[in-house]
Amino acid sequence: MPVNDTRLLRLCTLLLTIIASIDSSADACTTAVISGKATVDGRPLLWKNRDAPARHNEVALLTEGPLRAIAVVNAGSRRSAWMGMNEAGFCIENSLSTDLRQPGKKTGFNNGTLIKRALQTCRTVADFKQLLEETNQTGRRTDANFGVIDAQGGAALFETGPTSFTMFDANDPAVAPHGYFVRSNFATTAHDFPANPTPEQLGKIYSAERYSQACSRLDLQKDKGITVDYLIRHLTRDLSQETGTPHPGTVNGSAAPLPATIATKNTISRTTTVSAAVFHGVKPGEDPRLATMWTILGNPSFSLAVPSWVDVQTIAEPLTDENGAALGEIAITLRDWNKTDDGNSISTQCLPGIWSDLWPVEDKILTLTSRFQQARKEHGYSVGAITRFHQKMADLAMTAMQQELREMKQAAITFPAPPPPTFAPVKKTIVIP
Amino acid sequence: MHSVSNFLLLAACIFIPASLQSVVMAEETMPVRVAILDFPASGSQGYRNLQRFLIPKNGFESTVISPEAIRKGDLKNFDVVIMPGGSGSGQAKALKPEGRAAVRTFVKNGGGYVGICAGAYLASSHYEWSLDLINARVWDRSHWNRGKSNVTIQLTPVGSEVLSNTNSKYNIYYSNGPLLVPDNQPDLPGYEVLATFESEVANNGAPTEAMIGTHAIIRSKFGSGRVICFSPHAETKNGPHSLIATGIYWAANQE
Repeated sequence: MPVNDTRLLRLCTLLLTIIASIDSSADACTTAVISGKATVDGRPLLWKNRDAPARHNEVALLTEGPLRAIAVVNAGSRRSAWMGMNEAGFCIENSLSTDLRQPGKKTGFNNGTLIKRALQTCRTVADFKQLLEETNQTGRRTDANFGVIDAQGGAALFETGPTSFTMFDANDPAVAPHGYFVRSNFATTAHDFPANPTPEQLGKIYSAERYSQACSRLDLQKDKGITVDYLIRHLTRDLSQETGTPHPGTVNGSAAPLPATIATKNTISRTTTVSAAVFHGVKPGEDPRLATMWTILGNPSFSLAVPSWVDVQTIAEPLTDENGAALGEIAITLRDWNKTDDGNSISTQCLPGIWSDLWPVEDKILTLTSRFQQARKEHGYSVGAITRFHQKMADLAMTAMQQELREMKQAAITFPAPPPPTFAPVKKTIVIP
Repeated sequence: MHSVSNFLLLAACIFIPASLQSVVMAEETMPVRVAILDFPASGSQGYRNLQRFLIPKNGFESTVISPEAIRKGDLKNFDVVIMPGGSGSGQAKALKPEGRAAVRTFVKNGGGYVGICAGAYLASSHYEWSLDLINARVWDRSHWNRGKSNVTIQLTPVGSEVLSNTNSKYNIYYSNGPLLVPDNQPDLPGYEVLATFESEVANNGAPTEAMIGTHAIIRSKFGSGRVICFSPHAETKNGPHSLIATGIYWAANQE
């Protein structure tokens, strides 16, 4: 009956809206594609803070495809990848954009399986574009903004629905005047926004805060040129207020005491951030195997970055485990202990101590890696040497994280609590053989 | 309550002629009346293990009690309630708000509470569904599913005094129990540490070194009642049964 059909349709629409909103809040991400024109060293950069319900992540080698690749995956799973790079220097990430969904049943690649396929088969941005064109015909289950860079200087963003996509070239000054694109969880093509919408244009759209905060951080740096270090320290760990002003005492904030708690529902380093990656590409003509994947397992505010390369023979132990890489699991423990009871904020009391312990170690890893990469360019290194260096950096990070865990545990055990009551002397103990 | 009988016993010893004291002394042999929570969906075998040694010969009389019976007020017939292993949130859900309130009232008025593993999670002050009987949080709760294995616990000096005058270290079965640490809820007293974990289980992604040194057995008061929480399982086949039996006996006595 028409009336019932209408009610049913309304109900279905309501349910779909609810499901979409649940998905978009749980599985989100903040990302940027940065052309070599906008970076200090002329190499493209790619960044993603992964916001997902899958808290346990690891770094994995994907060796079964035509191209060898390295990626961040859900722990214990190799069916999908959520950010990664391959031996051709092609790097890819995504941010969920449910506004690209279309009604009807879909088959084909979803966001994670498409990333995996791209890592196994695409050498360039053009290859990825071709993969999308081919799968436009057969259909996909994709609803995401895919950021990609390659070893030829390519840097682009693809707003990708199930049967169509729109490409934005970060090297094209007409659409990317500053040489980069930021995306959170909306597609400009779904709303008739320009390629780089302003906060005013976005209005109250979901994830507008994170988009605006990321744009703001990159805008501040664009004249000096963007670097890997800047993305790792200042983007992945941004903790800003809803107005966009960074909280005092945080990495981008004024040098003032932290507020007692910080709401992290809509910050870039947020309640649901489970990992982050920054890809440092190569210049045209450079060995694509020099491309570096910097991975932060766990929430970036409680963890630190470790470099990986496609050439490593095995992933360093702290970064890989089917139940969750050890380094990321410690970050989960640390964050868990510092979150408020409702889970939507963090208590900041321990943050200065954590940062003052971890960031100097990360600085050391960045410096050592920069030297190592320079030496690789000059002399070339064996895969064994690359693997050993990767292991050494992971061990440095793990040692720092393990120490942080010990200190946090000790603080928990010795936490000042009210005194215990006095008890009457014990009357007897019972012995049961 | 058992402690009421102790008071009578003391009064009797002072005021009753010696010829009558032997009658009153028999009071002391009255078994501790223990209620052990169980319900069909609890998934716990803990009550069976407990009932094997909570017998009159050892000074106990145990009864399995349902959440419904607790809600109806049946705890008034017992000296101590044991919340055994299973699921802390599951126990809280089965008890419902009325049952949780009934347990709190029972302890507040002088009843004893023994939490074992899930029952220790339930007693803590950490979760929305917690009973808030003891001022304790759970360290590394993200990795609660850290695994099952035998571990070593070390009794503190107070722990030795309360639970054992023979050994200070025990090999004991651990099964995803809470790693207890102090909380600072202002309306609750602190707790005393009776034992700490000296070795650990770190499976399913749980970080190594997270468990060692955290608190395995703790005690405190809630109102007039005594509360003791065991993270590991002293009630399983290999015990140490003396440890848990002594803990239950201690909890059954009012302050």
